[in-house]
Amino acid sequence: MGPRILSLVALALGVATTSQALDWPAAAPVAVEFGGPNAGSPIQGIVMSGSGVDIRASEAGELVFERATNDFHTKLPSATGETLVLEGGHGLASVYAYLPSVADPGAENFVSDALIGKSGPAGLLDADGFMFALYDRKAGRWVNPRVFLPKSDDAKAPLIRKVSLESKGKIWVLGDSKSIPQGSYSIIVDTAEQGTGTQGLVIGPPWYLRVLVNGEKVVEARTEIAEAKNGVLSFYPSPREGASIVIDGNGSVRVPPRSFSRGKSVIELLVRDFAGNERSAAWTLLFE
Amino acid sequence: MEEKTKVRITVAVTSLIGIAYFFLCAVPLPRQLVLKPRWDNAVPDSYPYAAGSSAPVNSLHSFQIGERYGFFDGNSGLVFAATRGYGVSVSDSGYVAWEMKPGLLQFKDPRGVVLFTSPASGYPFMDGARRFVIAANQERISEFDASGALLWERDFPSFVTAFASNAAITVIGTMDGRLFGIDRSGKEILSFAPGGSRIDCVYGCAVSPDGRNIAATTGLDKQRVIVLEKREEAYRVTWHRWTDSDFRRPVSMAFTPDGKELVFETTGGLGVYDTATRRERVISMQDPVVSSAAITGRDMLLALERGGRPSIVAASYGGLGYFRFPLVADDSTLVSEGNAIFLGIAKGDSTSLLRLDFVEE
Repeated sequence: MGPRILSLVALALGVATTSQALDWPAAAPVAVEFGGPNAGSPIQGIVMSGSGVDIRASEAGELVFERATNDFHTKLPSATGETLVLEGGHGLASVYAYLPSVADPGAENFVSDALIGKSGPAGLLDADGFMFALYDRKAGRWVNPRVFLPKSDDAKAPLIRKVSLESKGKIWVLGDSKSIPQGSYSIIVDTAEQGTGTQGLVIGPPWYLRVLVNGEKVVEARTEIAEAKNGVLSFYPSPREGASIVIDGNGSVRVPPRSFSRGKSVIELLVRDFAGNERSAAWTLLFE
Repeated sequence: MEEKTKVRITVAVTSLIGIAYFFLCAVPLPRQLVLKPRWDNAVPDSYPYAAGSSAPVNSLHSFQIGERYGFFDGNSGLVFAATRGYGVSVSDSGYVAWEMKPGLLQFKDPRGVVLFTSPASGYPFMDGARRFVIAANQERISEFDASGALLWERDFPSFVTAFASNAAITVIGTMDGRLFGIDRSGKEILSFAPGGSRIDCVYGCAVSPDGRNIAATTGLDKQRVIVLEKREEAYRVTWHRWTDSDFRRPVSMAFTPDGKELVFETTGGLGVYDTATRRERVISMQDPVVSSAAITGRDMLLALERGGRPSIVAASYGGLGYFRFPLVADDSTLVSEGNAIFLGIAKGDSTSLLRLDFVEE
């Protein structure tokens, strides 16, 4: 059983895996993590930034779908620009999107490491780059590519940028607000990865998130998969414990509303990136 | 002498019979169908609506040829033209332009009056009188009414690869080979996975004007065309055919305006499926077809080929070729209305629009 199949099996069982099965499609930094923001909607893959960077097949695959930006066969716009979908076997499709152009249009079979194109300005991405995504055909859901990619050499802990409580559109930022009216609140968590070298922050939900309220585990989640159910795309944890989380169009994690009664409450947060670096924080709040 | 007289009489009788046959049994020549030019207009970079005719806004036709787009009145010609920036979607009900990284998405009517600014981010597109936005992730589609109110918004399971709509139904095909039907309220009225191929994917879809039939080109190895028909409760597959095609890109397919035929791209030409007889024919084409148009009341389908040299091809639904004529054009477009066809041609910096009428004479 190869590492790739092991990864699939592990994923199906809901077990985090570090098995390397695919190669990074480019020697470029990750700019947006799985579930991170992309012009108002969470992205189903990772965005790698850079201009003129070679984009290569992460594994050998057969072309399933190729969409040119200005294809005249359909009036449906291609929001993901030039897009290639390769079937690698085992029911896993790899998607290369927001490509300015394709190196070999019409090619049907790609060996591993074959040149797919070069990154550049395309689609709605805020910076030059491209998206790499994996779709699990059997389960009908997107998979965080990091599950199948080699672990990056990252020693920087993720940043907890802001944690807030939200009720009826009103926001209380933890750290700024010591006293809050009692009631039902969603917990909104904004995190980011610290980029490599001169790269800025990498926006997106953390790989692992745990929230405790007064010592009770409210949610423990991993952003491993994304699935559209009943017309809504949700990035949710493999069901482990607590409530499901929702990732909004800004890449923020929203923990469903829970009730806070009068008195003191302690909210503890632990986030971890895929490399295992973690950061925690705690806030003591007074609900009146 | 007698012999000579006999010959004369024979010649005279034969001549008389011939003359009598000519007058008595004459059949008038059938009227011939010819294409007559009615008007032609140059399409400038910019032609403000105010300079156009006073034709009612809801009677205008849209066009997009190369970089230029706009509207024309079938009787009088061009009423509005503009040059697109990064992208534009045009339908007879209006237009919406966008940039590669768009800011405001303004849906306008054919006069250029802003109907609303979309609250949704993404790429806008119009289909008939319907206005949609597909999100940056190619997975979420939103529909708005003419005032900008959100009618529905939905995430599909994977990339949206195929789209079709009529006045009441939107049909969506996805990268993982599923087909969805959504009504105007956003309710799912069809969810179907055609399957049957080694790899599932939907490459094209179509819905008939009355919503009775839905069609799709699906799968790889083998690829097939399926037609679903609405029964009392749900849509059911009523016809399918494995094809020799191996399309791995979007595929054109559409029902004719009367809904009687499905016209779809297939190997070597256009497939025509008759919804009444459930029979299929293939009209052979030399190059990929950009667009096709049915001529009302005639057994005639016009297709615009885009090959090394674009051509207009006319054929019967049975596959009988009527004519083919090449165009001197870099880009072209074809629209039909009744017995009229409107042809747009772009060559270099020059763009023109002309009306040709099928006339019997």
